[in-house]
Amino acid sequence: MTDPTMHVLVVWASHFAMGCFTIALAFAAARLLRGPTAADRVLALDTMYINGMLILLLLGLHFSSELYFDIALLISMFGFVSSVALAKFLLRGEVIEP
Amino acid sequence: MTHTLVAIPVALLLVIAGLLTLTGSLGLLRMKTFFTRIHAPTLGNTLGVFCVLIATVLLASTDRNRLVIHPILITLFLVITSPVTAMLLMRAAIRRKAEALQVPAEDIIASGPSGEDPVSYTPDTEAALEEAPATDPALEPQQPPPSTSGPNP
Repeated sequence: MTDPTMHVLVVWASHFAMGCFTIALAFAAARLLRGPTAADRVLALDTMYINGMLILLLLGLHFSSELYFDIALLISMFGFVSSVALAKFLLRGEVIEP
Repeated sequence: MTHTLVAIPVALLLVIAGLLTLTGSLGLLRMKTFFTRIHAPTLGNTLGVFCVLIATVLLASTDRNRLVIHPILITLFLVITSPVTAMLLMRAAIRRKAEALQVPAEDIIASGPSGEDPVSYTPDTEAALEEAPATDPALEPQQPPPSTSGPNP
């Protein structure tokens, strides 16, 4: 449940930001489905993991929990690695070159 | 109860972060070409993450009465990694477009970020351009120069 000691302004601002992040995630998903080139889809995936990480950070702020921060850090690291791997694959046709 | 003096900047930062991220993803959806699309999320989302993490640091620090600095880690990581991803993706896009159109990558770069596939870059017109200097310009029918001013007084 929401932390009862939280100020009402922060609660409403976090609700607003959560709505914004969710709509942004939907936009990125639309680009992922539509994207004319493969690079567009990779860029949309990159945007989507950042948006998901933002939602997790906001949940951590909302519930005053430390757990969400670690998950967000892990998501950002794995998201970076996967984006770079996909971009490298598009660039060369191989991820790890001999 | 969080103090109002802390709640106001935190709420402001959260609202700004939401609007920035929404702008970035809207740009990703609405821009015309890939090279313009890549600008929006890389800038907007990084700034959105920055604002959310500053808000988290402010709120956690005042709640625990000590400086909680570890959320800055994500910002540092993202500031380092986001341009790397963007540059690799841009290179991949330029290279793939150049291979698809059978032109050197410099032509793709020179056509600019909003350059739609120009007509002169398709392979057929490329071949036609190579044959063009063989024709003598003197044999071309002379076109009368178009009248720039209207009827003379």
